[in-house]
Amino acid sequence: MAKRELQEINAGSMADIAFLLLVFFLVTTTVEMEAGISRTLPVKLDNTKLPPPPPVNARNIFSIQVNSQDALRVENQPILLEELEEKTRDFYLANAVAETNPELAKYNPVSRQTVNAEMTEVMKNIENSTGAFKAVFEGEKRKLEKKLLVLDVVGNSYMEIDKTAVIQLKNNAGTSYGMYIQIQDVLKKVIEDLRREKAEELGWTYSEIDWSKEASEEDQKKAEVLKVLVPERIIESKIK
Amino acid sequence: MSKFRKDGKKGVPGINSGSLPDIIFMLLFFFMVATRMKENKLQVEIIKPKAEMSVELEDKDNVDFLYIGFPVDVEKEGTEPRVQLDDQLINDIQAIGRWKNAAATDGKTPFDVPTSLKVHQDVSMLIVSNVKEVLRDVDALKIVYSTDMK
Repeated sequence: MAKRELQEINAGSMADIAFLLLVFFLVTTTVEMEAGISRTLPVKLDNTKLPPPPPVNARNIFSIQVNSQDALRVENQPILLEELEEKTRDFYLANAVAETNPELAKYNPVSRQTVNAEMTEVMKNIENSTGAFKAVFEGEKRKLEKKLLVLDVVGNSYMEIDKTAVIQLKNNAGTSYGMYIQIQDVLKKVIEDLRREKAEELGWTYSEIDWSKEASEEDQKKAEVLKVLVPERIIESKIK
Repeated sequence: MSKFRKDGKKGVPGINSGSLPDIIFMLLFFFMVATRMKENKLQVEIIKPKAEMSVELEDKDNVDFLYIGFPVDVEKEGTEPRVQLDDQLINDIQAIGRWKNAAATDGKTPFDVPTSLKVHQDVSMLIVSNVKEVLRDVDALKIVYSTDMK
C-alpha cells in the first residue's frame, strides 16, 4: 500500500477563535481596584452578665461629635476637619513623656513589677470566676502577656497610655457617610504615623513590617508591640 | 546577465501567521488571570468617598458586597437611599442577616467572610449604622468601608 501523506490541519481560523474569546473576557471582566478601610465591629455581648467596666476618667476620652450638617466638635469645641489630625495627635502625645496637660490622656509607667502584680491579681480572678466573667479576665491576662512582650523589646519600663483611653466617635443620624469616612481616614492616618514614629524609635523600618496574618514570627511580634504602644481604640455609639 | 538570476515569479513571500493564535491565547490568559467578572448590575447610584489610607482588598473572592445608594429607577423606587444585596433592592434590613448566613457555606461562618460596604458618600449615617447593627447580630464583624484611593 502506498504511503499516504498526512494532510496538514488548517489552523488559520484558530486566531479568530482566540480573538473571540479574548473580546468576550475583555467585555465581561473588570480591572477595577477594590480598596477600602477595614474595621472590626465590636462583639455583641450581654452587658448584664459582665463585670462592671473600670471607671473612666473624662480626660481619657477623646470625644468627636459630628452633627447633621457635618460640623465637627472635638472635646466640645467646634473645629474644622483640618484640625482633627493635630488634635488627635495631641491626645496621644501630650503626656507621653511627662504630664503636661491634665485634660488629655494620662500615661502610666509600666514595669515588670507592675505587670507581675496585676498578673497575680488576674490569675486569682480567673480561678474564682466562671462564664463571661472568666472570659473577661482571660482577655485581661492576654493583654498583660502582650505587655511582657513589649518589656522584652523596649527594656525594663515604658510609659503606656491609660488603658481606658479611647476615641469616642458620635455621629448624628443625618451625618453623611462621606464625612464619616474622612474622619476614619484621619484617625487611621494619625495612628499609623504614631506607629511609624514608634517603630523608628525602636530602630525598625515601619514599611518593612508585614502586618498580614502570614507574616514571619518576628514581624508579628513587632506589629504586636506597636499595637500595644499605640493602641487603636475607637468606639462608636449606636445612632438612635 | 547575472548568473544567479532566478527563474520564475518574484514577489513578497506570505507571512507565516501560524503563531498568531499562540500570541492571542497568551493575551487571553493574561486577561483571564488579571481581571475578575463584572459585579452585579447596580440598581443604586454609588459615588464612593475618597480616602488616603485605603488599602487594597487582598482576597476579593472571599468578600460579600453590600451596596447602599440612591435608586437609579426613581419613579419605581423613590429617592430614599436603599440597600442592594446581590441583584435586588431589599425592603427589610433584617434580610442582610439571612443573606450573610446563607452565604456562609463550606464550614465557613459569617465571621470568616468580610463584608464590603459600598456606600454613596451622601447617604446618611443612620442607615449605615443600622446595617452595621444587623451585621453585628449575625457575628459578621469584619467589614470594609469601600473607598476610592485619593
